Amino acid sequence: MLKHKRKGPWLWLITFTGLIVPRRLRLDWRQEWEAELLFRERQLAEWDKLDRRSRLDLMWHSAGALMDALWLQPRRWEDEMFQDLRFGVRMLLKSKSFTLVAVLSLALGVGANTAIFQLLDAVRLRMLPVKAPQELVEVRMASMKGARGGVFREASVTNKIWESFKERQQIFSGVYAWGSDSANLAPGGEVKPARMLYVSGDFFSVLGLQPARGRLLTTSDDQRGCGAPALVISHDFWQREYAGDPNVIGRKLTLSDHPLEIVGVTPPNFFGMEVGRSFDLALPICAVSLVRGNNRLLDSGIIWWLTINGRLKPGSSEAQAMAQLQSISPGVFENSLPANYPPASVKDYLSSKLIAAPAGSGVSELRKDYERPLWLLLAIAGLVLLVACANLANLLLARASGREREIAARQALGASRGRLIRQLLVESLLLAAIGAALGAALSLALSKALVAFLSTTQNPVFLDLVPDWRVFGFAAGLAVLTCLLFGLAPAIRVTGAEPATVMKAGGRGLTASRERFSLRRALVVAQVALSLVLVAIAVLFSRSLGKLNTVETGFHEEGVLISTVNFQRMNLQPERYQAIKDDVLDRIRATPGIEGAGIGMLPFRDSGSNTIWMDGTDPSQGKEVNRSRVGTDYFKTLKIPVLAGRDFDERDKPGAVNVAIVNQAFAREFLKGASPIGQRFWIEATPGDPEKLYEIVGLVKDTKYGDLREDYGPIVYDAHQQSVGSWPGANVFVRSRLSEAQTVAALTRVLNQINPTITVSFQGFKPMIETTILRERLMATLSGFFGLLALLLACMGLYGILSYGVASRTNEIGIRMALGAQARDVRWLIVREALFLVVVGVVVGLPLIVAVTRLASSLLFNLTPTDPISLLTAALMMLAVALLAGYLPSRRATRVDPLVALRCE
Amino acid sequence: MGKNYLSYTMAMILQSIDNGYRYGFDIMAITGLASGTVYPALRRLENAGFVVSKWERPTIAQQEQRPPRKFYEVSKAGRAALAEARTRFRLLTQLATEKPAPQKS
Repeated sequence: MLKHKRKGPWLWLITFTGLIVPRRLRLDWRQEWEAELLFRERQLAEWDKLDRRSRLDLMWHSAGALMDALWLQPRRWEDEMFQDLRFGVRMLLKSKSFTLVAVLSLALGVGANTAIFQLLDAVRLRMLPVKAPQELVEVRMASMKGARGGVFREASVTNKIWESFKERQQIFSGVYAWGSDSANLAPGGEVKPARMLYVSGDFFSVLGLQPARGRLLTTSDDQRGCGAPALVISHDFWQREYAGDPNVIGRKLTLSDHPLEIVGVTPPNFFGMEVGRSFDLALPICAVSLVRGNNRLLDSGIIWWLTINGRLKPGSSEAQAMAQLQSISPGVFENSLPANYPPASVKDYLSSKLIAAPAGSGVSELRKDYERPLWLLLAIAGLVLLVACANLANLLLARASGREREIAARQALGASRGRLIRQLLVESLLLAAIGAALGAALSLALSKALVAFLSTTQNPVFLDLVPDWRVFGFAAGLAVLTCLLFGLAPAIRVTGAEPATVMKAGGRGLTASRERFSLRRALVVAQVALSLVLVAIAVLFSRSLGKLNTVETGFHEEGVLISTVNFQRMNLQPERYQAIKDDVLDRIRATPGIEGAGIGMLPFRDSGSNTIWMDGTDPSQGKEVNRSRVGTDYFKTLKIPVLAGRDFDERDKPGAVNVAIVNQAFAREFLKGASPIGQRFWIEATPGDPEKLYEIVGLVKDTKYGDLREDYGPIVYDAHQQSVGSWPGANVFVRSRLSEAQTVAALTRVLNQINPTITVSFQGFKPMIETTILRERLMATLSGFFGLLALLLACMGLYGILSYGVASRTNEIGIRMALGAQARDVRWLIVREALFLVVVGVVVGLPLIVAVTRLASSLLFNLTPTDPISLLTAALMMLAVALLAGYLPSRRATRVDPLVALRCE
Repeated sequence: MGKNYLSYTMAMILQSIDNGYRYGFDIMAITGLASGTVYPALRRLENAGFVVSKWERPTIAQQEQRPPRKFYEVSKAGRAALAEARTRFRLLTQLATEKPAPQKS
């Protein structure tokens, strides 16, 4: 370039602007602009036009150079990014085993986190797929104190309350009620269950749903006494049962002998109002009497089965709705009070209040049971990911030590530190991205498996697991976070060394120095500490499950099959129910291989309680006691010992003295342990019955009632044959010597002989009890899996650092052996290192355990979160892992040939 | 948008190069566009392969006692893109008939 006399301000501007141009292009860029400007300046001077105006013009043109320079900016990133990516892929392909371990551990970590997050998303975070879900509120009972009769769902209302509420409310722009139930699609024999959704007429219109086919239900469908109700099927049912047949509209489906016409199909993503459950068939509320064969759900006013939802008017708030509900509540309850309501509860009923609660994300039993465990599992999975990150950081550090000279050389040749860090981070990002992508794919399968785990035949769990932006955002966020976690520290470390020192340090990289090595040791300690927490949690949960599994239920549940028999389709009068039940029982008992059969309520499933007081004491001193209604031979079949008195028998008929059997806890609580036989007590009035006096005829051993976790409480059994009830069906407990399949076949045959329209469903008693501890099983299984994973990762981390130690201490070991150290001493040298790391990890991890397991305490059965046996087990497992991880490296150390080792130096 | 799609500004710049205004400042002078428009457009055209940049031979520059300038030429692909652009911007067709201005250098 030539020298010029004077440099115009525009040229300075170019020089300055040139600084932001990518270095590769900078020289060319400057020259082009300078040449142009100089040429122009010269030209103007020649023409004698270099005045203020043209100078300003030049200035203006050179300012345009900034635009030009800015435009070149992305090029620099693109270029370098692409280079980095290519280089990164090459490096990853070069060390395949490292890449495999990294990608797999990340995929598992991200996959597990995402799967659990996906469940949480579906159970807790997501809104219902309906119009403006945030405007929906649930109108619920403030308290169920005044609620008598049968309660299907928490805080639900009776049909009478719903009808009375509907008339009075002007709070919402739209209201609807819904209830779920199950029905049977099979004409006879084994039950084919259908999940029913009963909805009021406005249900679909308030939710703003459009049919996938045909039409949805409207107010004209939901009229009292609807004789031929219109039936809407769910999209899922349509696909499953009709293979998506487009001509399904107008076809008939028989439900309880009534052929119902299918008028429409609901939209594909709509699963009802309940998160965790789906539905097959939707019918107007009025149709429930047709399907159930009686009017009790509609008219009795004592069956609490409907949930009311409303849509807030535009601009009105939940608080306003709450205030208005408060003011209409007295009228609603006054108007809906059933005639025969138990006098003791009338006051509570009338003073009941309706309140509003947000319902945009639906209602859910599943949420109540699993929200907390899922958050805890997410935390656990997060820890696993942290362990995986620590492991990767360690592996990367180890790799970096091999690349230290390369990096030092590049630094010496002028690569900037930022650029090198960026390049190393791109490699980590590549790993993280591949791992996260695999993990996201894995999470879909994992979350499906989790839902399958939670599903039982009696209670299938349905969750909409289509991933949404939250899930993708979560997985992507995890990828970036993990990348920074495991990539940044090694990148900063390895580029921080003085190139000259590294180059000078002979055949050895600096990573071997004490200070650098200590970062890796710190990482291993962190890994051990975190893994210890995970293992401790796993041990706690599996011990808790173990305790639950061995808890004394009081029954001999093995070999007992529960057959739920339904004879609604025989259309008998209630007076004939007892006769048919007797017939069923007699024939079952006469079947070869059957050891016993008795009717009873389902423990852990059905429940009911009433206030009871001993005859002659003050009724106000009465206590709420759990009740069970059982038939003859119930105790014999379940092998519950009758300790005194007798079982129910044929003497106990309707009209005879009301008899009851009580358990030991009852005798303890009410009679201070005295013999209860012959004692009499009162049961408060119920919606169906007045106050009644019972005579105790038997004492049985304690059993669990509603939950395995609770202590034995008082139970009052009354005789099934003395009050047969209104249900055209019975739960028959059958103890059999045959296999389950044989028993099922035999029972089906027997029932078919009695009447082919009798339907029946079967479930094992033991599996049924096990479903009540499903949550504990889930926690134990998953935390066990995560604990194992963490152990494996910790083992890898330890192994890595110990092998490295052996490799870098070859000389030392050689010298020691040359000086007479035995193999045992050398082995101890390495194992000591492993033990040291683990002991430090355990010491660091113990306080962590205390902090983390506190969150789990409510999910543990009969265990404190700091249960010493569990913690000790976890610590011992860590030690075992340390020994395992130390074994190979220590063996390798003993194979060091002193001569070779010394010559190496 | 096709690969050969040119905006009006880009087409005009390409046309002026084709007409023989091969230096950045000449293009600015003839089109009246600002440097902040012309230069990024040139980079884009070059990236797309519609123009090729070359440096003046140093001997010429040396004779005139100034640094060598960079100039642009329309490539074969550029000509095709320009032909396509002319069908959209009819004014360019008339510009195309104009003879190249005599070069000062």
